[in-house]
Amino acid sequence: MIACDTSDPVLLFRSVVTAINAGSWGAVAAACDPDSLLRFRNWKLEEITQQSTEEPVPLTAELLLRGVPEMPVAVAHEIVAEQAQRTTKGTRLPDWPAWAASSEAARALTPLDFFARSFESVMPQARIARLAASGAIDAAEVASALELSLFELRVVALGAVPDGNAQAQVVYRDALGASLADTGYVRWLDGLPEGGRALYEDLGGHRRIRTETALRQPDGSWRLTASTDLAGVGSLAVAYDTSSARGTHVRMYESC
Amino acid sequence: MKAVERFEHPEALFRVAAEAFCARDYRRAAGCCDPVSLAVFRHERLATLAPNPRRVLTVDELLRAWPDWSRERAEYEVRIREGTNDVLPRVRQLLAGVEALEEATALTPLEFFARALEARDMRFLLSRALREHWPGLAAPTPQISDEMLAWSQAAPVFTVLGTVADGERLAHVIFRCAHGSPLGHDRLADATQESASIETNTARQQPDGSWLLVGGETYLGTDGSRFVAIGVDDDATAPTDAGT
Repeated sequence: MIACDTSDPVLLFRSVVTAINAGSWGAVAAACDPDSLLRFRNWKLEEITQQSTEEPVPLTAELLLRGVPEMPVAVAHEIVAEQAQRTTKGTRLPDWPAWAASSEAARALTPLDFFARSFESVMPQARIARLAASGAIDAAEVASALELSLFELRVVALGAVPDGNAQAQVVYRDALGASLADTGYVRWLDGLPEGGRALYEDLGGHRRIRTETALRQPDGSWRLTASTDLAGVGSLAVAYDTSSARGTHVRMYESC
Repeated sequence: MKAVERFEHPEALFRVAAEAFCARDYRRAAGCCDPVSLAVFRHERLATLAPNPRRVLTVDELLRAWPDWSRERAEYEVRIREGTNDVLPRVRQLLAGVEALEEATALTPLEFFARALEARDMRFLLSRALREHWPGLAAPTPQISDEMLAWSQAAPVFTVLGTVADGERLAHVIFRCAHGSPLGHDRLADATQESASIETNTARQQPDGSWLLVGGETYLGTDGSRFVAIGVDDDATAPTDAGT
């Protein structure tokens, strides 16, 4: 297992990225603050319990019309029927893997193991594998989707700023990829006001600047706050399309 | 006209911009921005305001694309799509005090951004929401508490945490931005606590070595997609809750 460098918030973040790329989920969990691991586990257990005991509220025409009163009643019924059909087809991506299918199984895990498994579960590879297991996409598509999902997380830690006595914010962004001019945006860039192209080249397009909270531990070392969106991983959405015209295909994109 | 202020450090610049925003001096807050970023912002926003060049699909075209739909649904969809092509509501939402697309087009990049900044200020959003729903509202009423009015008009609290460099010409100012809560939890006093969101603002070094902020969608922690929701009990004649 990779040992993360906990001596400094930025070094810690960088080694967590290395651990993510190596698939070392235990190392990622060990780099998180113990209290936040416990909070994460309790919060998720509550969610699992709710999901396994509560029936989802079905969309009804009445509910829809309350939100959109100008919609014709017949149209509301049509949309509800369509929605019900879509749900029964199983096109919704399964949120939880088998290990978390019951709250008892999940409750047996330590906070660290619970987080390690949760983090692995949000990785695109795991999500596509669940998609395949559910039968939503066929074997050939799974192979190409898994190949697509073997991505490398490429983020750059820029530094850290103190946030009180025992906390720091690690600042990072996506690594620069191809030049904007090579990404099909040429026509759009050419239409910008004077200086706009240089501005976007400087900014590298619309790169998001993100932060991750690091917490100082009693022994002086640092840990990150446990979250399945560590390094932006959880913001990667996996979507699939079953339109018969285009065939089933899987794509990934940043969801927020 | 007053000369453009010159800033040697991104953090000092950010503090001036934040102070101007809190004082509702939107032109000065906009004046802290890289002029190219303002021109690009205006260019991109005007492009979204221009009458939609894509004509709305007809009922028959929609039915060809979605053969399972009923004709009534396609007719309803056409009505909705025609409605979203209406420019004026979008102009009003984007720019404070602007009532026509021609007015928007005539604004300089700085003035355009200043109006956009005002339009996404929570104080403006809440005032407008209250005014539109309760036009007679001018002072605290039995239905709307002093606290809610005070909250709706309280300036946000900015706490700068620091700056990180990103290459030679960019730097990112990291800050917390806290707004009050209408439900009695005064988060304004907790601006350094976890309740305030962490935001970032990019600064860009100018050819003369000074710094200016990059104006855009999330400038000073504002967000163009923010909207205001006001809760009203079924039998109430005034808001019982508000939030963004």
